[in-house]
Amino acid sequence: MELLVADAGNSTTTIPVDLVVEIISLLPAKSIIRFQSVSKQWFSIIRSKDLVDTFLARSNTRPHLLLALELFSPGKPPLFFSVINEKTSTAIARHDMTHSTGIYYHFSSRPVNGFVCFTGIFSSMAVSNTIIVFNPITRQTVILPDVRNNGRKVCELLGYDPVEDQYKVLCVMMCLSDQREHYVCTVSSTQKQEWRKIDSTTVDNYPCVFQGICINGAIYYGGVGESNIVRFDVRSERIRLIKAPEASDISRTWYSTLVNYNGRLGGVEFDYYIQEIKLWILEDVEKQEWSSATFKYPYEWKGFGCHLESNGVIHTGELMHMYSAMIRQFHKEETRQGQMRFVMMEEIQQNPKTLFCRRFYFICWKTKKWLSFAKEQCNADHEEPMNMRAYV
Amino acid sequence: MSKKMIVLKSSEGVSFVVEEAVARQSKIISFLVEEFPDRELPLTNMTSEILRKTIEYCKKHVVEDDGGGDSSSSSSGDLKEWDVKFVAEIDQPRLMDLLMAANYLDIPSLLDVTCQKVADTIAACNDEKEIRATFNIENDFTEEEVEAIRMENQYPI
Repeated sequence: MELLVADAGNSTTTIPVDLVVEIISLLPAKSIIRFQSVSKQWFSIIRSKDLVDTFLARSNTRPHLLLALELFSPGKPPLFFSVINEKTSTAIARHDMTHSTGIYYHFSSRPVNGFVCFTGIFSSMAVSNTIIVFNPITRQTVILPDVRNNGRKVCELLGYDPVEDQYKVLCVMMCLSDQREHYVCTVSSTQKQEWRKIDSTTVDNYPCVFQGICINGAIYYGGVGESNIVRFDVRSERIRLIKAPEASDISRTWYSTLVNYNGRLGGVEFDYYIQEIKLWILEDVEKQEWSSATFKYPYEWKGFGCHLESNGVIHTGELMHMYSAMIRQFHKEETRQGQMRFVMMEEIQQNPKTLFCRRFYFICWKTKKWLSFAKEQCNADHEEPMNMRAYV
Repeated sequence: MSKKMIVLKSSEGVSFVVEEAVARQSKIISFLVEEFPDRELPLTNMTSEILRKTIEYCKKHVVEDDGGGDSSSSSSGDLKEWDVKFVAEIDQPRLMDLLMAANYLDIPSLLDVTCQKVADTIAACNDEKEIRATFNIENDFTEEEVEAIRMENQYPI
């Protein structure tokens, strides 16, 4: 009994709730969050699970690429770039927004279902880190309770459990000598969130966490050394180790990357000397069996030397690479050839007055960045970016 | 062959004689026609004005099946254009009445068109105040509650 409309006469038309839900679901996701405060009923409809699921289902049919730039400098918030005209061989990444929490930012998690997770550090003493889960479309920000890290390094990893339909953040705290500690927090905008310490005695100390990625209800990350990859089951909250293939470096080197290869864990590594890319695929989690495929650098990559770094597979099935923080490349795996598409990071144009400061450092730090895609597909229409997939 | 006609009666008691094929786009009327053939159908919650509009929409969207083959009265592109114009010409209160009529009579395509038009109107509003004013919605939030919601989404700029 929500939308009350005065008729031309003195009567009123009352729209039933199911129709109000129907109408709200037709609104663009970008604007919907603005309308939460219309009334309590609108608020509860917009926040309802049903509506969120409707949006997610619809947006999954037309994914959109969002790039996030970390500017490794205090006080420089992450910039988000949305890639427009994705279908073309040279796409443009245009500044979309700046997330301005904290004074320093750290990304160690890949996006999950379009949600972005990162750490904002508010104090220069770094005694307290704040982990943020952020929806780049609705711009809703969920701030998790402070992590009392006492100077230890914090790594955040976002995961999704499709069975319970829950998002959780795994937080790994580490310093040089102490045992790593693992905490889990269930992400919720309505219920109380708290960190729970989980048992992780099966895992020895490890030097760092990198390339965290969530695939089918499990978060995988490397950095553990000894050719192991950590597998954290989001539902049971159990940690176990997966043996990486012996001949590979995918678990321990910064220039290799864990990727989602058609729903399976994959690892991409570069061999600069023989100019080859090797793709490892975890065929069976239980038996820990891997397969691999090798392909030569495409012609256009000659001269990139050891500056290549992969950023994972995007929704088109293309592999995205970054070249020395200046060039990113999208490379299509299936063809085993390096057809490339480029994405140009557009200089910040909108509203130059208010963005002046950011524009200044942006140009100084990272002038025209180039990204490239493989020259393929993108079948869905991208007119209305609903659910951006963010890649960091 | 003469077409079968049925009679629909508005809340003011005005009778509208329409071809059965036109009226059958409403699933409710389709059902009623089979249950009660040769009866006048009273639509007591629809004004003549809204009923006339609804019939106008149904006439445009009726698919002629006696001509054989694909002989809908208009191509789908033209129809879409017509629909947009159709809802654009209706003022806000009548649009809501038409939406309710489409819901009541169960005419899915008219319901889609009217819902979309309402959604477009909402999306064009600058803020929640404008929506409340346009749709006559009572604000049942306290200022503190509005502030709490606003704080949650303040970070990105």
